[in-house]
Amino acid sequence: MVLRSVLARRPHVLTITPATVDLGLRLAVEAELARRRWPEASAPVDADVALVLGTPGPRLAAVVRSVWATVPAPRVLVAVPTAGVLRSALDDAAAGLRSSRPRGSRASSLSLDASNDALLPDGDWADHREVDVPPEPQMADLAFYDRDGLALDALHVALGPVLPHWPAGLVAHVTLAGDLVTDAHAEVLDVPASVGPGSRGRSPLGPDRTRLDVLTRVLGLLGADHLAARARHLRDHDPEPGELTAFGRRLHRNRPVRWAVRDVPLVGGAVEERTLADRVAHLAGALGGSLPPPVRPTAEKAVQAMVGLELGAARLVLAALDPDTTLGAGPVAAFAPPEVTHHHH
Amino acid sequence: MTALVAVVGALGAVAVVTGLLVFTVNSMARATFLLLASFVAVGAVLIGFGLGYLGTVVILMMTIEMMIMVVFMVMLMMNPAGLMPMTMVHNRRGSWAIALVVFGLLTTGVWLVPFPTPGPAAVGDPTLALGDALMGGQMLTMMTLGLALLATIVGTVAVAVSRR
Amino acid sequence: MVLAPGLVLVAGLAAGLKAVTAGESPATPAVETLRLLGKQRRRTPDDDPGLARVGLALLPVAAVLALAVVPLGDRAPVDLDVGVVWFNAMEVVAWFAVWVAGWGPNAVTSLAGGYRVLPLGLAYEVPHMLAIITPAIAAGSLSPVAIAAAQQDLWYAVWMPAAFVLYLVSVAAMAFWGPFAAPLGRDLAGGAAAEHAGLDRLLLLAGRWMLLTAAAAMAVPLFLGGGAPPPITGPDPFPGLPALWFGVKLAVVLGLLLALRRAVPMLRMARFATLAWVVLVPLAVAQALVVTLVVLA
Repeated sequence: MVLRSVLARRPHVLTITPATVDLGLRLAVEAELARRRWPEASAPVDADVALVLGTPGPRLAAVVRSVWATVPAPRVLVAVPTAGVLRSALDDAAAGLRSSRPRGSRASSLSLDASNDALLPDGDWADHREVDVPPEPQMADLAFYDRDGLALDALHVALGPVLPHWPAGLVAHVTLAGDLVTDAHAEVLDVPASVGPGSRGRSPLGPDRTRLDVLTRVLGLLGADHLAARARHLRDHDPEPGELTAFGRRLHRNRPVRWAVRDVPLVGGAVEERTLADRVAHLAGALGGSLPPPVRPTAEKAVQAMVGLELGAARLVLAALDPDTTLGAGPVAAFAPPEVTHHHH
Repeated sequence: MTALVAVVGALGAVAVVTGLLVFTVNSMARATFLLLASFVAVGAVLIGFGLGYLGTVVILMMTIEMMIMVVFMVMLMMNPAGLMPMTMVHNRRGSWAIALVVFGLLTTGVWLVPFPTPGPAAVGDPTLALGDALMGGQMLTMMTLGLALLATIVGTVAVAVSRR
Repeated sequence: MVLAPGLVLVAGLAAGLKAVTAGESPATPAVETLRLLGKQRRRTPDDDPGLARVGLALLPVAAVLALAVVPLGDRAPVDLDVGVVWFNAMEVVAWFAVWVAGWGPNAVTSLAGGYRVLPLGLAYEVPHMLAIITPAIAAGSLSPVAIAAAQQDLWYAVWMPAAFVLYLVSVAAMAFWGPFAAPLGRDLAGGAAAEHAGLDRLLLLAGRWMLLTAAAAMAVPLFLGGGAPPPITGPDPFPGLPALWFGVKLAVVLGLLLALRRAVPMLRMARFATLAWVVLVPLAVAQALVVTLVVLA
């Protein structure tokens, strides 16, 4: 019981966000978690509370189910359909962790609530192993193409939609050779692919908050926690223009950060910048100014920019491009999983 | 003394058994682990013989060597689902033949070479004595070669990076 | 026998200090430890839990074995005449530990995290070896006790500053800490830790703090004069308390490492490998060469 009350003091929270979520809700959740000092879980395995924002569609609901199956007990699954019930939902989550038998949130009125009990662990963990969780790899096969002409192994794997600092609702179907992304296609769960350009200047957040939102993710991925926290604070607290330009200058002067994002190309022309360093510099430099908001490409264009990069660099590129997933994947053919063949050495 | 002999003997047995097990497992990672365990046991035997430097260096170098082997596993057989069964044995007949011939030669050698008789107890630092015995008059040559090799590596990396 | 609990305690204090600098409660490491102890362990499909747990258990063991040769004051728990090499060997065992911890779960993020230990290790190891051999050359011994004793007049941190800085950088790298956290990176959802829960996760995260603390402790005899007071203070205000001086110096080194984490974001391994081979290795060779020439002259 002591362990449980400790758990409820500082639970790690895994947030699962549909592509179509209300932006205000996502920001409210991030701000409330920061206020309570509840850390963001880095993976399902690190989570005590799984928080499902908004109204997940059928595809995301399936992901929620398989992700939930991999969260180790004690654990609580909570739905937060609107910002109004956020605080009571989080209080319920803490109470659920404290009680001996974790329950779902009373604040949720979604169909998830009905399935919640069915998802609770009631026996040996081994019986509950799920196989179809997106981040799990399938068997490797030989690469169709590889740069050096060696018959290397390749792996087809779906990245997302439950990863830290990952665009809402996005699944990137990638082919990996080692930790190198050799092919990538986007899918946005529950949003039909539309034909159209990216959201040039259409973010409901406004230019500066959009930039800060992107910078929060990039800095978070870089492990620059205090800078990421500062960017989020500015994003959530109507800052003075002076504060914004000061933060932009601080980032611009920060040589370690500049050095860490160097030497990563942005290919495919998703945005006008040619390198990650330029993209970050423009995002930081335009803070507090009167420039138009940053271009947010379609998901497919952003995911295509990951090809040829190491996984870590690819994650930074995706975070910096910040695709607008509310538009769907963009003009692409429907995703068809490649034929997977087994082979032996 | 008897305890030391028993420990060294047990470590020797561990080295042989883990060395044999390398060929029975069906995963590269387990084979790497068993090979490393075998080498570490050999290093511990050397430490037991009073050769602290040599034994520690064996543990250090063999661990790094295993890790470098993993780099090649990543480069050539990047198989993230690497737990797929995979045999560790190739060319069974040839390897049996080579192994038996080498074993025969070594066993014959053991009985043909005159065993050293215990001389006077070693004096001074065994590490120093070892360095002197290995390098001796060639110390300057080896140092120069070592630096030249390192300079080549660094130069190659620098050129490769600037061309990217 | 008190070594392991002592290391856990000091590592916990260091983690508490880090929590305070991040604006959290100093009790955070204790809360997190209890939390992980209360969590269920977990497996993934087609995994190799045996091998992964060998690695996870090996990490804190390697940290304790590395600390065993460090003089905590004026005497080392095990006074090995080749202590510096032993320390190096134990820290390399940690590479193996993290790699199998990432391999075992058979999941892509965990595996990529485990693999990142290899470029990291191969990049930092050469400058690191040169950095720890340089004080050994100056003192004419591989024993940390003798190296500490040789610094009565001048700390090696002053006499060979490049080696000291390289050592600090490599301490962070060997514990995959701060700029070198890529093996457990957030971009890989926790990397090698991405599929470990409960006790397994605790071993990995606590083992990393223990490794960081043990490596920081080695900086004291190698570069900061061991348990002796600074040469400039004149008579020792706390005579006969080498452990106190050791503790003060260890706290300073850990503070420097915390500052490093705040100052430098996580580096991609390609960036760090380039830096290590093009800048750090030549610097380390130059430092070793200068010291050798002075010692020979």
